[in-house]
Amino acid sequence: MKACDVVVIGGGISGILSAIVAAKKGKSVTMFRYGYGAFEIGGGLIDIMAYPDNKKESSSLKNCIGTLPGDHPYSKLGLKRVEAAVKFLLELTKEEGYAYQGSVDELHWVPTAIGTMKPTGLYPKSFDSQILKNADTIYLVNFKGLKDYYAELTEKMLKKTIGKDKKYEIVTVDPRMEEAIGGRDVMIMDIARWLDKKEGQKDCANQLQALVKPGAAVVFPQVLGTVPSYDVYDKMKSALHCDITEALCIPPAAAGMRLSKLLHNAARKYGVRIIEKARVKSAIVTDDVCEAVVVSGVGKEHTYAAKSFILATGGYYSGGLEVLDNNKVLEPIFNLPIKVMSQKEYEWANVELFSNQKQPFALAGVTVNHEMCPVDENGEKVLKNLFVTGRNLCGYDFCFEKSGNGVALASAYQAAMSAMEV
Amino acid sequence: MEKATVIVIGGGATGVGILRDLAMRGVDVMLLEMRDMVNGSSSRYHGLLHSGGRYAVKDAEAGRECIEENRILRKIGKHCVEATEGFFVRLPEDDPAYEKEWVEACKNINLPAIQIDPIEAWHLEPNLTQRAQAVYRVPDAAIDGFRMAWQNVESAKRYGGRVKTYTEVIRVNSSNGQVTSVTVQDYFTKQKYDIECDFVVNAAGPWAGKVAGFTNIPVNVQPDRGTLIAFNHRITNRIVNRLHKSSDGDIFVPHGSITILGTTSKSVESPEDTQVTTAEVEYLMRIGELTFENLRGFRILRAFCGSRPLYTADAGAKGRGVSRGFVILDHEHDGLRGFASICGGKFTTYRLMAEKMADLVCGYIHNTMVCRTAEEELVPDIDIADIKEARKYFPSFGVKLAASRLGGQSFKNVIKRMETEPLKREIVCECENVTMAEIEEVAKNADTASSYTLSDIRRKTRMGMGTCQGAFCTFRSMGMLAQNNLVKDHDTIAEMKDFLQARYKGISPVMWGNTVREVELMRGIYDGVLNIDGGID
Repeated sequence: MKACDVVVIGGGISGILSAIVAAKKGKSVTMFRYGYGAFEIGGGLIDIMAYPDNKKESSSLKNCIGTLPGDHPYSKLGLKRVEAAVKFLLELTKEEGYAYQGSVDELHWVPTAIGTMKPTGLYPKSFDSQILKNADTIYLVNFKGLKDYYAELTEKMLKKTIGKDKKYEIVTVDPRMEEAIGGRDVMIMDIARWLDKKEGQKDCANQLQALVKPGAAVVFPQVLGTVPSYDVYDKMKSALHCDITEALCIPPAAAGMRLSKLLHNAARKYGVRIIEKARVKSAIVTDDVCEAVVVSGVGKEHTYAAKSFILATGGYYSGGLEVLDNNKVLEPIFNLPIKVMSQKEYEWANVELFSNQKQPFALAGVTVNHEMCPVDENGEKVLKNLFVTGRNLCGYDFCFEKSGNGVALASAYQAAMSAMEV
Repeated sequence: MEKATVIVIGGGATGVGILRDLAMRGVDVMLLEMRDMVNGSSSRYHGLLHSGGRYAVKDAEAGRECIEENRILRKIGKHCVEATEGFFVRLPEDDPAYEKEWVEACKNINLPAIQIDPIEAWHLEPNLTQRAQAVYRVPDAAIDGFRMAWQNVESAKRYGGRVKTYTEVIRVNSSNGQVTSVTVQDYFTKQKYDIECDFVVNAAGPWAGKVAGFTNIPVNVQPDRGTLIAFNHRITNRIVNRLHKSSDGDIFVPHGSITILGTTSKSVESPEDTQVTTAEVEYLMRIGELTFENLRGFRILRAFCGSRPLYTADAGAKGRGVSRGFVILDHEHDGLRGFASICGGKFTTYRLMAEKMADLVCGYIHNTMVCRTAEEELVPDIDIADIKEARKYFPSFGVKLAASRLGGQSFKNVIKRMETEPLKREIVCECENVTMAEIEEVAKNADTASSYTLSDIRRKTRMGMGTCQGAFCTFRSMGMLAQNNLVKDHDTIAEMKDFLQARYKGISPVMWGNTVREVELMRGIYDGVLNIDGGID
């Protein structure tokens, strides 16, 4: 049986963050993962909190944390711990050369591919709607053959959100991908990889220089490279003499890939052992202590022991929570106590997909105490050396609140801290 | 004022059948539909082209009509029919005496029911229960309700038939006991206007009572709600019926890559009551898993329901006891000349119903042409050269699907687009293999008629009907419409929300297993990332 200080189950943002936190403090950490989390869905932004209760009234976490229900992960964590986690991430991204900005005090608004604005918390500087407000002329960049981004659609709604009084112009760049057009389709990742390369950057900048007048704002789809660096952003900005921003797009998101790469670089640097294609199947438990987990790899099963364990397998999307039937939710590895907010059928899913009410099914998850240790309905610890993070937790609807990666970050940070004290 | 000799109210199977029949007889006919075509009962059913086996015992007449029409539709509508054949399966729970009665009844209506060994049946359909006591093969088939209706329209148009969608009849006007015109309202502009006519056919299905109500003539149509489940798998290659007295949840119909299980029977107040409950789904699952024991292992795509337009002369009768045969009510007997209603019936016999109604209408308008709808194919066969050409641009397994859903001319247009504009080969809906060229054809081409909303485009292309239920293609379709300047005054955000909501409506009663996963992806994209609900700083 192999052993280490901390075993992390799950390789999404909360898994890898908690692994880094523990490893950075000198612990031996092994991380098992089967998938890659939601990096490429979430788009690389750390949404902290924008709509605590009502989509018509946005609020920063600092302003609303006191009003959140007791089950909310932020209520369990408290503002100080969230702030400590935020500080950790800002420092980490700075160290890795792709510094994020933002805080728990204010919302930062980012343009999207459908022309709406989305409030976020921590973000790379290449996402900024303020430049659109400041500019008189807004250029929207299309790429020839690109699927999954339509500047005309962005423009239509932007005129409503930013205002009709500005000059809008769509400019098209040819990424010279004729072989893909009409074949396998040109994707956002193709353009981002094209812009990773010097020739691509040069070609794109040259084409745009002929189309864009200096002093304007330029909106790109989320294509400014796949690596955690502002290189492409800086080059475009100085070549065009314009302010630029990326717009959030449908998955796969290049900025999510940047964050994923950044965190993997850091994890490797601090010595996290990452075991790929490893599905944790079950746990070996004695009384209220988890001794080891059973991991199914490629054709083999192994048992790994550790002093403490961090659960970061996510929610329904990644299989960290399973819905067996209406209202019956299961955490499949430890069979942890699950809190389901609704008891009746019609309270399990709202009639409207998008409404001013949180989706009841989205609120179901594992109950924890302030250390992120799972507890039963009486508040007693279920496994005292297990700590739970991210979408495994109950009490928040990340889509509604715009709080997904923020809860992941803060709970991962706390889970790692708690795990080190075992 | 606009004019037509005959106005047909209702864009379901019966209405389009009448439109086609009259147009082929040279009548100046116009069909009015309050929403989009095939938006009511004709698309909200299991898509079974009955062999007649289901009705053989209870209603030999209906059974006979079914097998005859089944043979005709296979011939004239072969692009809409998948000749799967069907099984009638008797389980230990089912009465053996009924089997005998059924075999006899099938003989009487000239329906070939061939008995096979249950073990052989299980070899042919490995998901089927091994508890089957007796199995018979019958000529059931799967039929695509959307396509069937569109192809009827296409055929009618070739003969001068006209169609207006999103045009709701709000009044039937008369003078001296003779119909003179209808007053209609445009769904989008709310504008009201009259269309002059000599005859009005009420083919509004479960809404027929409402339409007849405009003239104060009582037509007792009882909307009877049937709930169905669509599974994301082809659980069976054949239609599977339980061999017992017709009941709920005893029919499985495969369509392409999915299977539909139905149905229930419940009297409802309004045909517009189409929200399925989880309890209804659970009820169907319990019955369905007797036939396919591993049923719960298959992902449910969505649940939906529609209303049968059951007709009864007696206001007291309800449910399955009410006749599913059809009636034609000539309202001259009620004192209004030039107005007739057609009620009841079933999808399989829509052509026959249309023929009878057209005969009645022609009697009044002195048209002596005979019905030819059983002889002529709905749409001409696709040119083999077009198929060859299409293979260059389409994903290969999508060629035949696209050809049959588009029909000859539209298919040609789409190929032309793809040939001249390679950018339009982009696949917008990956689940159903729908290309940008195809969506553009449907949205742009006025002749294909009237695509106002994303749902209209969906019904004509299958965009958004696959595994992801619109998670990716909603955005892409809207983007494509914006790119081609086809959104006009639409609120793009509201349009996308409406479309996703329509998909979610069928998903919300089945929120477990992988279905929840799909919803979380959908919410993650549109709410989490794109903040579709807000975002004004």
